[in-house]
Amino acid sequence: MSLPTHQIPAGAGVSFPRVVRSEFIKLRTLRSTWILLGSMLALFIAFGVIAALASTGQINDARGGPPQSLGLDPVTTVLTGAGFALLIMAVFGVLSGAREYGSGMIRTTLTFVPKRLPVLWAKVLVLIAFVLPVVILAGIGAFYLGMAVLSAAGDETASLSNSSAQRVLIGLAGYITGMAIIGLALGLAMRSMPGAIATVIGGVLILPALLTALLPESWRSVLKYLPSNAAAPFTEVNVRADLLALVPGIVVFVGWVVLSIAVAAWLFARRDA
Amino acid sequence: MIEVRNLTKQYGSVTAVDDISFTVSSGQVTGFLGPNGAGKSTTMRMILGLDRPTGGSVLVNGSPYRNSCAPVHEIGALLEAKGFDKARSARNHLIGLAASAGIGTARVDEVLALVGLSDVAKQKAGGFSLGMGQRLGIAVALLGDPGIVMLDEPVNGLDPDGVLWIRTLLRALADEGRTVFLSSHLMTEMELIADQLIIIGRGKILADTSMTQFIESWSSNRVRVMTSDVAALQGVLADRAQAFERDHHGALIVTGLHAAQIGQAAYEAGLVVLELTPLAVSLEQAFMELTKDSLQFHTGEVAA
Ligand SMILES: Nc1ncnc2c1ncn2[C@@H]1O[C@H](COP(=O)(O)OP(=O)(O)O)[C@@H](O)[C@H]1O
Ligand SMILES: [Mg+2]
Repeated sequence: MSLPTHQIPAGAGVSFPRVVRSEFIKLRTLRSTWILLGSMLALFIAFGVIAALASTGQINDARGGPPQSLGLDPVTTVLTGAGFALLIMAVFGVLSGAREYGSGMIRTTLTFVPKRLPVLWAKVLVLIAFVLPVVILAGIGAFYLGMAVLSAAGDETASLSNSSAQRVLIGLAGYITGMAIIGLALGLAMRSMPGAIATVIGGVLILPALLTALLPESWRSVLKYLPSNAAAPFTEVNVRADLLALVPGIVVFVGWVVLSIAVAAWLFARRDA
Repeated sequence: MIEVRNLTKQYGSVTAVDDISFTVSSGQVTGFLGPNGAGKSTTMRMILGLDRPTGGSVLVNGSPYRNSCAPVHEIGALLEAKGFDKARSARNHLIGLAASAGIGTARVDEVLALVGLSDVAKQKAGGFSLGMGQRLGIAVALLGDPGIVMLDEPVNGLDPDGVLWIRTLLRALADEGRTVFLSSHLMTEMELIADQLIIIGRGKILADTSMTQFIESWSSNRVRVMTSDVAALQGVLADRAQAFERDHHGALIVTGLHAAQIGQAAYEAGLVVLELTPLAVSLEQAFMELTKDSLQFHTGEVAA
């Protein structure tokens, strides 16, 4: 005798929009998400304001001597906090890629979405949705507040209609979001937060300097293809002459992002969870 | 229905599951019994497509789990590891997972009530006791109102209250006509709940039988006889019995014959039977007997 098969209600089941919604809820319901986004916003703006105050001489250096001119253009000055924002968002990316491995949650997730890759694409989309708006907001906030400080002191300022200001603001938003995605890819591929955080930070901060010191002169030209150097043409006001031009820089950086996600996807789809 | 066909899993040089085949039929409680390290969890992970088989295949309701359009509506699972993020509340954990399957918050609150976690639903799961964590895992398994419920060692580490609760719940799920597949390393757990029994040791299936048959085949094997002339009875039974032993009271223990056959033979030989007792082997003993060769860690012989 065969029992009636269990009925699955009409409309039930997995779809990509549902997976995206699920990943969105999962990220939204973690306090660490809001702590990291909030501190990124605060530091990006605060460092811009502090750097502006310092460049106008309103903050003296620690020895109480006369303020040193930082000698930077106003756009670079007010966006000083971008480096911190980058690190915080890279860590945020790692967290959204590796966190589920720490708790065994990944197995629960993949029981709900056994096809796996939709989970990765959803994580990437949701990460972008969280990071990009806040980075743009932080960049614009730092820009306006920083410029207000500079203009109050009668120093040189730049406006948002300035084309290099636009390039750098949009470029930084893309760069920081891209590094968050690379962080996610590393987190997912390495399945460990400390390892992936060390890799992404080491890759951005330490690797370029290390390679500059170690590589023979004739090999130096490869340095411009590292993610952080490839991003320089669209994240810096005055780009060094030995780096890539704008479009090749964008192509190479996007290439790094795509490559990291491709490797993570390949591993994620094949490995035992 | 779950169909496992020639399933093998190797982790490096370790063969965790070794070419096993079995079927978990609908509408029954099937116990998956085996000592620690036998391969139960590995098999369950392969059923869900979490671990990739080295060989063989698994079908859930006729197709691979990965291909299912509504996976958690077909099979709900509780695995060994906790499987939730400590920083999230129980309710948010369920809401997030439910969203991926198109399950709404009404069902989330329903399963929370079902497992008795409504009052603590907004608390962080990290603060839960082992028993509460297990209840949360079961809530996850029941979200999709699945026809198959698969639980890996659900009573492990629970206090007697928790054990009783799970047992009652599983009975209720089975009575609703669901297929229940649960693993344990304790025969005593299975005795109370399972209709069907699959015993695994060192990655190989050692028995696949109904509980009733299992009990029958192990309990009627040995009979203790007290008679006026032990040697004469032994002579009469010699060509039919498998083995004879003497216990310290001088009684004869006959292996391989039923009590009725022995009584009949004694009567025909004119021997007085003083006592005739089928020796029931406890199922725990039977299980130990079956798996003794496949234990990973033998305990040393205790010196007499
Ligand atoms: N991910 C893994 N990597 C390596 N070995 C594993 C892994 N999972 C299980 N094993 C090994 O496979 C065997 C079966 O383990 P498991 O399926 O957990 O058994 P059970 O659940 O019956 O206790 C054990 O020897 C175990 O050490
Ligand atoms: Mg196990």
